[in-house]
Amino acid sequence: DDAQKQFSSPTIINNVVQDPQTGRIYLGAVNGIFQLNHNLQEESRADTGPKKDNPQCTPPITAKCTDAKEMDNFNKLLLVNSANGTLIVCGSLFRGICSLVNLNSVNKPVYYSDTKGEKTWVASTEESVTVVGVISYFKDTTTNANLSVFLVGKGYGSSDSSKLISTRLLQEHGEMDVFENMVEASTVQTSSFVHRYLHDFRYTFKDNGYIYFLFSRSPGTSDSRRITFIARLCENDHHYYSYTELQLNCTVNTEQQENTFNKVQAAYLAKPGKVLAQNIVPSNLNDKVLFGVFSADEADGRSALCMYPLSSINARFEEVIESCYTGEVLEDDKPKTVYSPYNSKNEAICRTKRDKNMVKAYICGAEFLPSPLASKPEYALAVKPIYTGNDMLTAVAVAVENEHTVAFLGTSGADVLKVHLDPNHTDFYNRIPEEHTEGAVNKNLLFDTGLDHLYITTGRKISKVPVQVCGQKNDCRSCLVQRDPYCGWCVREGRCTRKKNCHKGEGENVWLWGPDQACKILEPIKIQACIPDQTPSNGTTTPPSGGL
Amino acid sequence: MRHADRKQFYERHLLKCVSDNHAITFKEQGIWNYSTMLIREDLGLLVLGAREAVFALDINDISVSRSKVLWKVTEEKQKECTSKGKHPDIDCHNYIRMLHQMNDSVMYICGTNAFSPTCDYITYDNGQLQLEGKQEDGRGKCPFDPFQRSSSVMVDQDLYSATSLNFLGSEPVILRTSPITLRTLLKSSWLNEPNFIYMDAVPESEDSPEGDDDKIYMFFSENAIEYDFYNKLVVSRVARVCKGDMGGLRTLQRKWTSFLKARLDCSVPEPSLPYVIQDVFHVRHQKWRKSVFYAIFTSQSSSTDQSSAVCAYNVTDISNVFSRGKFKTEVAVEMSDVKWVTYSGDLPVPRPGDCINNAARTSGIKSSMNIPDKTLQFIRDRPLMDDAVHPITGKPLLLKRGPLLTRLVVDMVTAADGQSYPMMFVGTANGYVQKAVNYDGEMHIIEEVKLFESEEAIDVLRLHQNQLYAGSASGVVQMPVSNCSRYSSCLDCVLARDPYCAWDVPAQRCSRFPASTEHAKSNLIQSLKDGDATQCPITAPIEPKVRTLVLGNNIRLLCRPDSNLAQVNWNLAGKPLPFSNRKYTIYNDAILISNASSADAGRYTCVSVEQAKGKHYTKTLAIYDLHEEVAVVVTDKIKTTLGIPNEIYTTSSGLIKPEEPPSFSKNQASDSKWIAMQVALAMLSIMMACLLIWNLYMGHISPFMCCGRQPIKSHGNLPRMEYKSAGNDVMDSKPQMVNLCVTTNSNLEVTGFHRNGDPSTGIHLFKYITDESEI
Repeated sequence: DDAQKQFSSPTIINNVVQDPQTGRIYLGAVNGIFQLNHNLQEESRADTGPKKDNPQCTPPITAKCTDAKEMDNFNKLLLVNSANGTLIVCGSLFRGICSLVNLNSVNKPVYYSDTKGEKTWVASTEESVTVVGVISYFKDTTTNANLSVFLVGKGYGSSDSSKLISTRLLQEHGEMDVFENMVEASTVQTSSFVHRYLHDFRYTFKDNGYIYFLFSRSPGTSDSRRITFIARLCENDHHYYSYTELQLNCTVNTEQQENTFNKVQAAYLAKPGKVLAQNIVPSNLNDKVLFGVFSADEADGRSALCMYPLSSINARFEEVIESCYTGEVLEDDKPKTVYSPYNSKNEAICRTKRDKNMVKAYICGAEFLPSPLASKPEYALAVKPIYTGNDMLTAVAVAVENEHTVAFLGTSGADVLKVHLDPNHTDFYNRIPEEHTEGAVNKNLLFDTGLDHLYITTGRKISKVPVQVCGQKNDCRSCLVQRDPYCGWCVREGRCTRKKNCHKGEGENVWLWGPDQACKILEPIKIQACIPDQTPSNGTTTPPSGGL
Repeated sequence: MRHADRKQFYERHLLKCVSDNHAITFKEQGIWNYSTMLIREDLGLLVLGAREAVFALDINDISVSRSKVLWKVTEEKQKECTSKGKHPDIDCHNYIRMLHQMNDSVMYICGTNAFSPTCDYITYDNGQLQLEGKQEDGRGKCPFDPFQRSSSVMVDQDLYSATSLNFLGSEPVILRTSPITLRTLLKSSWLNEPNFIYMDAVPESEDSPEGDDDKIYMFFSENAIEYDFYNKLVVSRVARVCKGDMGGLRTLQRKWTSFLKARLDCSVPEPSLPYVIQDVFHVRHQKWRKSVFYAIFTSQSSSTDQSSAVCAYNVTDISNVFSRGKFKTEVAVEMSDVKWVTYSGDLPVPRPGDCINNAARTSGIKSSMNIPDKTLQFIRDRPLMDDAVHPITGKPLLLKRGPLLTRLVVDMVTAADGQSYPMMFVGTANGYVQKAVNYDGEMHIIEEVKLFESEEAIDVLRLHQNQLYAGSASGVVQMPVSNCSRYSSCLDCVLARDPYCAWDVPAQRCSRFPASTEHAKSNLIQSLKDGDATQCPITAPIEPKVRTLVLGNNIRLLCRPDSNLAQVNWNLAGKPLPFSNRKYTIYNDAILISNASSADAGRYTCVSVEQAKGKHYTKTLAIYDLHEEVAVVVTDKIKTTLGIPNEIYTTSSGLIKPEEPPSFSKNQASDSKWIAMQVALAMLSIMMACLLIWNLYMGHISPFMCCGRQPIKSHGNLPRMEYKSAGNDVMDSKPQMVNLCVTTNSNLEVTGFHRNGDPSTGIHLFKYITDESEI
């Protein structure tokens, strides 16, 4: 069962998603979509390219498009819509249009049209422009019906949709087409200014009625140093009145407004283990935490992992929004905590004095309240890294084992680092090396449904790897010295195992984990065995080479 | 018999009192912001939109309100508006901002409805205005903010509107509401914080060999994207779309495919920041190529120097910039900035922004849905023309400092020489309307009329059948476009250079032009360009009037010029009298001799001087022989001869005596200001006297005039008893006369000012009453 499984794609893999209900893995690769079962055996595939295209031409491509040539189709967005059994596939061809395929068999098209024009251009024609998406709902005000939609965050591309954030229809509705943009809002759809910000979207998620986008962008002034933001939007906000950006700082020195690691590369939302939670969110142990891996502008390639409790994020959002809505301004009538990005109108926002209770009634903004808002750098949410390293981190996934938090960090060198997020003593204790290096670890690190395996994507390959290799430790000391939350010494069976694999592991002194002292309770037994020639080993056992 | 004659005289004078004003006003208690007008000639109505009310006024007499309908804000709406931070008394009302005729029976109406714009249909049936109550969403048609500029036009029952789409006013849109709704892109290169002023259609499909389409032209100001200024720079624009535009098939879907814009140039001689457009009037011509847009521009609000200009633009000049001009394109500069430069590459076919014409139809493009994407992409990214539109004559027609100009209308007047002259009626920010016309590049301001008492801006102007209608925050005024009868002499009539007026030689009066018959034309004298009054027949010399000098008294001699453009000079024994000093106080219509002494006796002559094209025309308006009292024997004789005038004077003085102290105070104030003006060599505007004094003044002048005529009519000595009875009749009639004047008085005042469009200054007429000479 723990045998390594893998799948090789003929082309580079762009996106990886998983259907949480079936455990299936879907790969969005260049020129192809692959459906794999949980053991990475191919079940179905569909070709998406190459096809004749020119980014300057409006699809459908006809003879009138004189410069059309065979072009690769990069997968820009891949989303599982379990509700209606479809997979949303958005590529780089034909101005970034999308299609729907059957979730049970991706070679069965559900919807495709390249004739609907610019209103259905969703993704990007440019390989370097990142696109993220999340499925949501949109309540039709006339019929009160809940429409199925997905929200897209996309950086600037010169030949595709000009919308930074858009809401796309997933079903036909009246005269509107599938994938049509539903919200016409000037706040985040004014293209003339978007291109100077160079948004780089990395992650998006939903939580408690909000939709969050994580990206880095430049400030829009002459300073070109990029900053990481998390943007928050209420679900079913028909005008994006609630769109607000909060700066996230991942910095060694939180007292100053220094921002050491300024570019988010990947993120993961998870509930931390109790040990970590008691340290960072002592008042709300069930709080979710946003784990992000950040890189620095400096050439030394250092990287960091930072944690932002979701309650802290929301508290800061509420703080800066409320400050603006209640009319807190500085001496020159400028807002105290926020500014209005993407907006050429420089009139003094946040000047109107309002009651706090009245403001609480408008947590999703309103037509008369200023929008969009972004926190000033002074009001950024700043945290210290819980882990820094010299490897460029490109992916993150977080799991909890026995109330301990383990982070799996992908690197640009195709390794995956295992880091035990102990508030007192964080260090990476193991490395899952890649046999054949081929590019960085894809930011989509996924667990299988039982959380026993990790799906690691690098270049053209996806591998299913156990989250632990306890069986390779043959004695108590080598089993415990790594402080791997997965591995403890099963006394009765005399082997290194996960707790759930140790029979009657819940009993005291049956499954040993922790400092070296834990192994000492075994020594008297050995003495009683009267093995006079044996002596305890003092060195760390080197793991066998070529373990994977 | 004689009594009857006197009453007849007074009635005629009352009529003159009414006709002098000519202005009719309308206002209703508690209703404000009369800013929207629709002329329904077919119904004989001026439909007037105000705050929370719509009126149907008689177009010939707007003081007659035929019907009224209220459109108030509900209590719920007002609470909602207030809770959103708007002012309950200023913002949270329903300002009627749009009135358009849809067909013979239905009009379309929109109001701000407490920052939630709403539209409805309104009809006028059986003498009643009636709202249908459909309450359509008015977003994109009507502004949220009642004080934000917007514009709209109804063409073939399609509504074109330019306003803001959202509460905060940050989403500008040019929208067509029709079976296929079109709008502008939310893109700062299309509209960058615009202030919409005007829009209208030009039927360019008529007489078009190319089979062109009608165009809709929009006028607005916006922040410039093509200039690298540290601060935002506002420029004036004209934009255009095609009437038949249906949007693109795949690019520019439900967006204008024909939106183009260009800068409007209205440069003043001295270097300055661009002037900002404030109003436009479209002078339509039967041949659309001869249509002209007249526009008011004002200096940037950041300028300390407040000035205004009027420029005119040929529709063909505008059209040529769009049809043949080069485009601007943006290029990236460094990392985060863009610059707009001339696009010098090839243009796609068909030309971006062109309407569907025969050439397009021939090549298979039958609607905007068939336009190739290369053209659509070009126009989407490059809507701005490289060239500016320059005015006719290359410079402003009118330049004016002082209170800003706000609105204008233009009437094309055919004069005696057969030419058409554009007569401009220009409203100002302080409640005046100027009447101005341009002769061969020279601007001639004929008169300036104060329409509204308080200094409030003219908000709307309309012109219809020789009547001008003006609306402001507090009311509406209707007045005729000309008042030719005010010019009582040929000299005044010709020197006024008013194209509406010509001197009718046989009738001996200044008549409204054109005459009804061709024969009459040959007897009309008009000299608009040259102001040559030499054609006027020589008039009989004015006979001197005799006045008695009573030592120590103040003596007032009347002289009122009919022309606002004339300057009055007083001579004593042929020598000019100085401007006001301790002895002489010279007013617009009189001279006051203080503390008369023997040296003041002599002949006083009042001469008006008017200038046109460098020539000076003089006219003697009045001559007075001031004589000192003589011996007893002569006194008795004079007393007998002048008995009636003396008695009249006594009566007038007696009647006015209770008001003397206030008049005296005002006289002092005026005298002081006069001295200040003399010292500072500057002209100051003086506020109009109070209503009561004005009415008293009007009342006062009547008996004086009457008295002036009596000596001519009398044919012998009257018995003393009969004379006293006549005096009683006069006294009995006065209250009635004063009352009638009060009821019809509209507080209309005409002031004079200098030629060449100098800033409007002048001494306003003000009333004073001083001691008359007493025997």
